[in-house]
Amino acid sequence: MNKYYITFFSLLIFFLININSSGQISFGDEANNSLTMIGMSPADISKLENKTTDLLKDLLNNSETLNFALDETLGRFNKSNILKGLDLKFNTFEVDSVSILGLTYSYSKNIQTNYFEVTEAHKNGLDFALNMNGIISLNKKYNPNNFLKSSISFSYFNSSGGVDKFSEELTKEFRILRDSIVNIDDQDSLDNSPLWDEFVTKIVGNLNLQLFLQVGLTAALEANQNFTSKNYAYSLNIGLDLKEWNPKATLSFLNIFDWPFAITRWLSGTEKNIFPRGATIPTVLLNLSYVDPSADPQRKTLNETKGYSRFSIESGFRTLVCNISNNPLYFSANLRYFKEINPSSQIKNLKLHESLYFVAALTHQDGMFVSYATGKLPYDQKNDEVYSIGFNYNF
Amino acid sequence: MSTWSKSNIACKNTWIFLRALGQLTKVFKDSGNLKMTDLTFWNQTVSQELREIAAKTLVNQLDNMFRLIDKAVFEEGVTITDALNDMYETMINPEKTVADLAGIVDACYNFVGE
Repeated sequence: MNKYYITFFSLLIFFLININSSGQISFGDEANNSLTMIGMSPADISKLENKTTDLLKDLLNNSETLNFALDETLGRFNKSNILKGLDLKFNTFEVDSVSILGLTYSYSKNIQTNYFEVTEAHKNGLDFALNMNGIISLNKKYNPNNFLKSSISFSYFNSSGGVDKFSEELTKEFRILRDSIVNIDDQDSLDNSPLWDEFVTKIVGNLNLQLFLQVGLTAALEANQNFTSKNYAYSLNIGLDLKEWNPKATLSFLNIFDWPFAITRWLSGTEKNIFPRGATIPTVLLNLSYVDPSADPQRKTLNETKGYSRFSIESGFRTLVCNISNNPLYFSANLRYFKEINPSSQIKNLKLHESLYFVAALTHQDGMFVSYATGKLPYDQKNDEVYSIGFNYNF
Repeated sequence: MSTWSKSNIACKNTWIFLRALGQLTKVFKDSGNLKMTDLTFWNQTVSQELREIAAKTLVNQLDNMFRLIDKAVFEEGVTITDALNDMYETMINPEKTVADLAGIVDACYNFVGE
């Protein structure tokens, strides 16, 4: 929306209406006189006041309006280093048939990274980072994912493979193809270009399997939204990301997760053939944690405040479903599983020893998204089924 | 946002390599404004830790492609740690665009023909 319109409407509202403590709008004398002059009765004016109240309430409970306000406010501050890596967005969630507004946040800061060894397509190094993420529901009784996490981590990482050695001859061919392809301005022409096909055969065909491995130590604070339940967790984690960048390699064909989407891409005409992508092999994160539950009231009530070990695994997958109006529609999924090792019979009977959470989403590049989540995270009281629909804004 | 131009080799390489890796589908002229959240690696359903692993994998592969396919070298005074850190910081920032990433690539790598 144009900022001049916003200023105009803000001034108009400021001068013409009053809002009482219960949020009810009443028009000022100027507005009342004007409306009477155009023939409106006091009853009509009262109806209009009620309608305007409802409209404003709807607007203020709408995630799109709030994201717009956040964008306008935080956009001015996000150039500073400390706010880089901060992502905030409002969402509307449906929990047990109740519609709830929530704020999703994430903050990531790489404090220090150092690469030790670099030989062609092989590199390794150390990484020191800070992370925070979670969802704050405006009605804390209905937080769909009541699990806030803040952590500091120290990791060793290794990346190997991804590109075969290129001859000078092939590099020259790459540059000639690149300089021609970059000049194709029409989307359909590029998608059906023999030059792009040649690029895929000669250049992408020389890419290969890349393995990224990360082994780290993490100290984390995990809590529910109001911090009445919290744990300190210290973990050893292993991150594994295997990517077969060559679409014609055997491993790409073995990526069963991408097969349904290879078919939708082919059926929609997005791709000419059924090609599952090795570039979308799911990323995996394994954790073995020691959890100190001494600040967890639920465990305190049960007299279960002794530290325990917990295993968890998380996997994520994202791929292209098809292009709609030249914009991509993506499918994303995430699975998280937590299991306490050797829990007491009391914890086991109350089913507090394990939790499984799954979320899947369809997102279009214009910002529209639809998502479905089921299961629970460690601090959720019960399994939820959450449908979410809305727009994404990033700051 | 950094300049997005067909006459800039860093822009051309950033675009064609991201397309080769299945991260974007658009033509060059429509790709500069794409945000990092529009690229395939940016899975909004996963934890931040998992998304960062995906970003690190992609950053390492882009570096492989700049150096091994187009035979780029680092600009004077730029180390591999500088280049990969700067690219990674850009990739995990949802407000950054493909043109911003190309700006970082341009500052870190020296390509033949520049």
